[in-house]
Amino acid sequence: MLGAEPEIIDTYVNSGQVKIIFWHVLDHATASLNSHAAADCIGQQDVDAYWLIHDQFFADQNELWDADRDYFVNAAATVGVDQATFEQCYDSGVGQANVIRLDAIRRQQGILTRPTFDINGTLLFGAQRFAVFAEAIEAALNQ
Amino acid sequence: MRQHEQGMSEGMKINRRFRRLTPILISLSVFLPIRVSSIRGYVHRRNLLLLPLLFLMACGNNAAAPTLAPTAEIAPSAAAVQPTSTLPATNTPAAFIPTEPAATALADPTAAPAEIAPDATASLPTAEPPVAFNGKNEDGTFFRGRADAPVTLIDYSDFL
Repeated sequence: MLGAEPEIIDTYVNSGQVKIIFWHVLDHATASLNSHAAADCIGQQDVDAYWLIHDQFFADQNELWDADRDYFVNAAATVGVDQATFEQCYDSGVGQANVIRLDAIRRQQGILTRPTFDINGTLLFGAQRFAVFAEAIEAALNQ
Repeated sequence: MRQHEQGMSEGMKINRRFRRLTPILISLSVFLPIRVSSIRGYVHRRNLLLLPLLFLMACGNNAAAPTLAPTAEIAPSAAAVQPTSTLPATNTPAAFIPTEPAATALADPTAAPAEIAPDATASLPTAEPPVAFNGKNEDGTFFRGRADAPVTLIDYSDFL
């Protein structure tokens, strides 16, 4: 979710009405696994850095197809986490194991469409405009 | 020689007699000059040589009397000084005694912040505990926003 997310953050997240949970979906084999594993390893050091790299990966998603280890090490450095700690996490496979587990849970829940949004139990499938998100969020707030 | 010795002995007796009185007599001479002249006449009749001696003795007594009296007065003052001179050795604890009130005076300002601290801590319970903004859930996912937000938006997405 990149298109409507900044507007959702400005309108609902910063006001404390909504929190956004990012659930790793691995639909593109190694490219998806490595990028999500890198994000998880960064998040283990700094949750704020996790959301920085989340936004960066969505913005630069075309680069992720051919991204190698050095690319993710440099990406981790740009968000300010410790490089050695990141390399240890990334090389040990801890990050990969975490995102694989989450992706398996997602499949078990029947979330097979990408992307899928769950707003207090209301599901939205595919990319949506901000107005669609706002309607679902307002409905959830009024419940 | 005997007369001289006798005269001297008489002079000494008179001197001894008037030694204690001469300061008073001289001080009285300022206010009662007639009596002093009569005393001088009495002394002149006994021995003319005794007059200058008396004068010298009177001066000596006057000089000695004030000096002795001050020395007698200095002695206590010197005795008072001696303890002060011994104060650095014996009264080094006493030298700390004045500093102890100063230390207690210094302890008072430190006690003041200690009294302020409970006030600050007393205001803490009124403040709400901070809510996590951005964090990690127990299932390993990460959230953006307040942990206690009423609406949760789960984004199932791939970066690619």
